[in-house]
Amino acid sequence: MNSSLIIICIFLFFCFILALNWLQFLSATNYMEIKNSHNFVYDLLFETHVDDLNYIYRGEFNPEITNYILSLAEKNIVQSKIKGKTKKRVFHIMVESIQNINRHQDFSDESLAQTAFFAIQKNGSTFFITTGNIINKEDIPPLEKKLEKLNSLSEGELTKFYLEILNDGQISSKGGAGLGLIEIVRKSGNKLFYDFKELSDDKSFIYMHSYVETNPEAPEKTSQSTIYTFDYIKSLHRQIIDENILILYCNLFEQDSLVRLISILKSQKYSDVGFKKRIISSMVELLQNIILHGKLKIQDKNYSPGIFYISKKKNVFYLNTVNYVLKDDIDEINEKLTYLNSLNQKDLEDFYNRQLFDFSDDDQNAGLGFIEMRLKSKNILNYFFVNVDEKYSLFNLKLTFVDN
Amino acid sequence: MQSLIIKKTEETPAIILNPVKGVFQFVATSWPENAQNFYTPVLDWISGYFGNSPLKETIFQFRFSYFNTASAKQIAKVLSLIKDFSSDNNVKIKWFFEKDDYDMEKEGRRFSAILDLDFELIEK
Repeated sequence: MNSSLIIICIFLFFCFILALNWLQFLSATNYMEIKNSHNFVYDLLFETHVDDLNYIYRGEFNPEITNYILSLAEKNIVQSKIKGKTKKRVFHIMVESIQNINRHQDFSDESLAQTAFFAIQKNGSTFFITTGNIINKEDIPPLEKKLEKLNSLSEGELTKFYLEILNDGQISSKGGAGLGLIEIVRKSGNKLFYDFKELSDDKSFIYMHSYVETNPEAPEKTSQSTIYTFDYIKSLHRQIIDENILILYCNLFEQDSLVRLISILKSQKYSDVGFKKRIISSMVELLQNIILHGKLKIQDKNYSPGIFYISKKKNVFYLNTVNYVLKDDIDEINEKLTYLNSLNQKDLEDFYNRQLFDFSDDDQNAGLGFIEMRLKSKNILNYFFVNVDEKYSLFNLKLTFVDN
Repeated sequence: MQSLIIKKTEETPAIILNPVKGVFQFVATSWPENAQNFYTPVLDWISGYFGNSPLKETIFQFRFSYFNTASAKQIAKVLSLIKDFSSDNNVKIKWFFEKDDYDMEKEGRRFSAILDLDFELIEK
């Protein structure tokens, strides 16, 4: 009797161990899936130096949104130690590139119109500008011919060509005189790279990529990282399409950049004002949390580098952030978020009220930010940590908003 | 006592604390990088005002369209401070919100329910 009981116990014990292993395997694969889908995000974060910028916008381009994008990039250009004349050149290329998208956007199919793409990157003293938009296949041969010509001309020949077109006064059916492309090549002082990707029988996607070296003493191309190459940007574009990302911003988080990002978000389309407000206020909390707490120490200076991106699947918006946290703080964050995720809306409100009038804590808002995000998103706060080194981890936070 | 006038920016509200004209107002949005730093002079001013020679009746008008949680905490501090002085002074709070601005209405109701003050919610 006793021995059979022992055998059953041993058997049950093995079953338990097996089940445990299986569970661990399941959670590990799930975790790996999440991690893999973020790989390009981590690449960007790790490869973007604190003084650099990676900013991508995908979606509809209208004059309002264009202004906000330009002002966000402009801030970074103004802050960098680039001389006035060169700053103007970078800005000029950005304006021409975006106007080019504006002009060639095809609104006949709304889903296609949403896919135009603009990326500005800064690495050291070099700026990289990449655009992408839909193009009718029949327009490709003349455009390709023109681009080949522009890339073959010397500086002097380009100016001559520019003046010829200016005097000729021929305006294309899209409203441009073709001066934009010449300007991009002239101002960048480099070739304009381009590539086409077939989408359907009559549509293709055109990528254009230019770069400006703002330091005349710098070697040919200062970038050491692959994330600034044309091929990388094209593959990144495919990845952000797969992840349904609309805006991606990788830079230091500062109040100033937050103000500009908010403006871009405000000018997007939402089903109603209330939903828009919930998203905007959550974004303020999300990013200010990083500005306050995401501290990465590099040579005795604190920085708040991070990635912010918005993705949208059907009627669900996701606000995502990735930033550095100290390993020592993980337990506290974990405890806080686990607790908040366990509360219902009523308990959350009560907890908010208690924290609101708790003035004992020196902390700026005593965790009100997370409660607000949980309340406004009306969803669980999804998060996980990824190991970086012995001191830091990456804190991934995702807010979910269902637009009913 | 000197007035405290803070001009409105994209991230910070207009604050007008003028005992001569009897205007005590907080207007627009509040989401500064450091809410504590922004509101400290306001809290100091209010303490000074009630400590010196307050008007017979002081009406604080809150006309916010948005504030972040760090500002909410500071506004809670401002209101708590006003509450402390309300036992010896005639103080009223007028909380304005735009029609259909459920967030600001809710915030007003929250403060009104928690604090025992003469608190009026007004739809603009």
